[in-house]
Amino acid sequence: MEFDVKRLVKIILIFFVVVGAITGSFVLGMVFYANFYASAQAASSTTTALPFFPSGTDNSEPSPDADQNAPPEFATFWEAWSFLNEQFYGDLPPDDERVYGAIRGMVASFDDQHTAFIDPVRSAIMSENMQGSFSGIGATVRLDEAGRLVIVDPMPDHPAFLAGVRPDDVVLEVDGHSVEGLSLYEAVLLIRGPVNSTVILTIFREGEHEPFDISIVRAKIELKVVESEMLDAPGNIGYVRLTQFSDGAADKLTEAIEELFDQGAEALIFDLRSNPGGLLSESVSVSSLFVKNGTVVIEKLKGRQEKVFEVQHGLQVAVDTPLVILVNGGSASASEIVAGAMQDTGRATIIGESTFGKGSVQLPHRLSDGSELRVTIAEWLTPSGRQIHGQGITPDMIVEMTIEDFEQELDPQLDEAIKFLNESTGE
Amino acid sequence: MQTLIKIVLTTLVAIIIFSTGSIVGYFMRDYVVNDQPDEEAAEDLSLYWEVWNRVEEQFYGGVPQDAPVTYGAIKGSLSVLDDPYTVFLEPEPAAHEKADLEGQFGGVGAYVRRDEAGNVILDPMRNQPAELAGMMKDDMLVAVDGVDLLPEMSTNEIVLMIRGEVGAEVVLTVKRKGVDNFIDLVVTRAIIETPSANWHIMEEDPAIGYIQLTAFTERSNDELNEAFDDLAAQGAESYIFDLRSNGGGLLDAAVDVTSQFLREGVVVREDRQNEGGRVYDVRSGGKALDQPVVLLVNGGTASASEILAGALQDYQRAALIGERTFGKGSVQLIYELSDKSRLHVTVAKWFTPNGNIIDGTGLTPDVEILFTEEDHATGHDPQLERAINFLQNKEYAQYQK
Repeated sequence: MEFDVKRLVKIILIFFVVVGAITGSFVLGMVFYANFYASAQAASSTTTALPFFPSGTDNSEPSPDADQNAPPEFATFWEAWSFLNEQFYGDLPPDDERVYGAIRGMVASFDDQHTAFIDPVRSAIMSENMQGSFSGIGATVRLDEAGRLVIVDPMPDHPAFLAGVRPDDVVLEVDGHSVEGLSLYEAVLLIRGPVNSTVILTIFREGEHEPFDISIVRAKIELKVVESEMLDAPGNIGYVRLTQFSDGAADKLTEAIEELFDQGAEALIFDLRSNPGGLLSESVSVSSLFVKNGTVVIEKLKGRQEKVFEVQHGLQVAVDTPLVILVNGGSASASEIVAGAMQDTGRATIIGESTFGKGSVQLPHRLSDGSELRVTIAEWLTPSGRQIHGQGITPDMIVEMTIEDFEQELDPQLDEAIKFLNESTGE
Repeated sequence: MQTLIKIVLTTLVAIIIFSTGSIVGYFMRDYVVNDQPDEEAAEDLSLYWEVWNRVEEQFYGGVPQDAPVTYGAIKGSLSVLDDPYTVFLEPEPAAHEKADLEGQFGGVGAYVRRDEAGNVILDPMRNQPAELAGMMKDDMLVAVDGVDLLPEMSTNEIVLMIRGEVGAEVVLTVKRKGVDNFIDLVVTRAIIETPSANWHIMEEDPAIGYIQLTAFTERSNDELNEAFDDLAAQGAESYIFDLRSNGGGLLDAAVDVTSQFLREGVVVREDRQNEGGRVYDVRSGGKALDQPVVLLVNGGTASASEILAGALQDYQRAALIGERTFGKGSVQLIYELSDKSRLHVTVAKWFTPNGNIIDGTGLTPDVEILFTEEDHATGHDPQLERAINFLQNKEYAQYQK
């Protein structure tokens, strides 16, 4: 069989577009408990939040008059507050802004970038964005170790890419507002906006002396969670990509895989690259498509409690088919759960680059004034007890994808997967 | 916390440019503050406690101590002001700032550094308490008052452990090369001064006195009195006053230092939020009222330095040589809070005597001379050379009254 690179590249591009879609939102996996998002997630799946599974909603009423519980140290806060009221030159922002600032500062002292406070306006916008499509620039972003906002993937043919945004660009400002100190959500929401409106990103790029501005017209970014195709390559390989673990992801995957089998697929490549995660429940369901039984993931809660998530029965669709899973640095959270489980059980060969390393679970809360709080409540481990947080999953076969590959529309990771499947199936 | 607490800050309140590590401005006054939240604000903060309760209860991982959480909240509440000069300093950096502004502290008189292996190495100053108590160069510090030093402690932290009240003893446990046992040095802390001025007669011309001022501290004016007396006695007839990279300091010191060069007039004008205009006049007793003066300035010349340079430029009392100054035209009060942390609050804008605002623009030198990287590499100081030239050729006649 003739191997048609051009055709392949085209396929890859399609997938990239999908990733681009996610973009606009951010990558960075969130494993979420889904209580709070249930309806939005059902409607679709865009993005942002890739919640992980519920076990009980948090409806408890905290006592808001808790100032009585304030530690003595908190007196310093009121001193500072009063001095500002009396002496600050210029106009003070409204009290609620100052309180939001204080809450962000307090939350930041927990030193966990996934525990975040989102004020009501932004929280409302985010809910809108969960409706399946949103208006953005088509680029995935993340926060690096230094807290800088970094472009992961600008998607071909999408506004960011067309305007000249490149991987590893550091975003310093959005429309002149510094993104320093913002959570990933806040930064992403600044980047998004109405269709056809313009956003100006101030970019720092390695090798350039000065930061520079890029002006980008926002467009509607449609999301498709699953993309699949028979590869035009030897070995009858079916390719399926999942862009996030939103509600219903496992069902859509099942449908796509069954269709690939109908088309004669004898091996599968499951692409989790740049998949930031999502619902914990979906990661368990997706893992259950490929194995008959066993543990998918172990969750460690506060106070040393452990919760074990087992393979669900009745979902299995491809337990014997040779399977390669593609991962990269944008594969986070729920993606890492699936990759970790498949690697531990030896069910699949993992190819690509080390994954993001997000091994924590967040519980979202809607607060009394409509703002939103996400709290990291647990850590998870692979079935064999491996810790993922900060480390990620190391692929069985490390294959890098360079910027040059990206620019030349090559995909050495996918090439390697095809080669591997052909060799291992003896063709 | 609901009891009414009155805090009287008899502490000096100072003004600072924090980003460049320096200061500007200073007031001595009693300040009474009521730290009881007004009801409205307390109500607004209910959301804060709602969040706190959830995070504290559910957060996986260590919940931070109360103080860092409160500091985080204070910093967060300041971040929405969009003013880089209104900042909060935790107690440790606050203590360093206090010592820097006072120009002195209670200490033992020794340099502290970490070597490449991470050991804390001491180097006593001559005739200071540490040396008098027997400290030797390259002694390795292992404990202070019985508290072992840890690898993660910064030298700043260690320095603060050593400093303390004047007259009080501190026990420094050191390891000395060639001595098996640890040695306990009992040192009585004394006032250790951190000079802000240094001066000498120019080698190129014994009629020119050179004075460099690195900050405006409580002691700057005393130091300058000594400098002018000393240089005049050595025959100085004109002065080069070097303010390059002087990021500022106390406003009060800026008024004093400016008064060294002027007989009368306004030093600086201030506009406050609720009080309106305020004027700081020249004080009597200047020691360089008639001698020709040039000021060396650059992009690191900020704040209190700009008050001095702006006034002398407005009165055509001195020519500015060098590069455009930083451009910091706001005044901060420094409040010491009850736990010894400090809050800098922007409380005013200031203007030069002629009413010019320099914020964001800086002062333009009368004679612009750049200091290039090449100059730095070759050990040249074209700005200083130009200043000598300027004085020798009496070019000041065209700038100065």
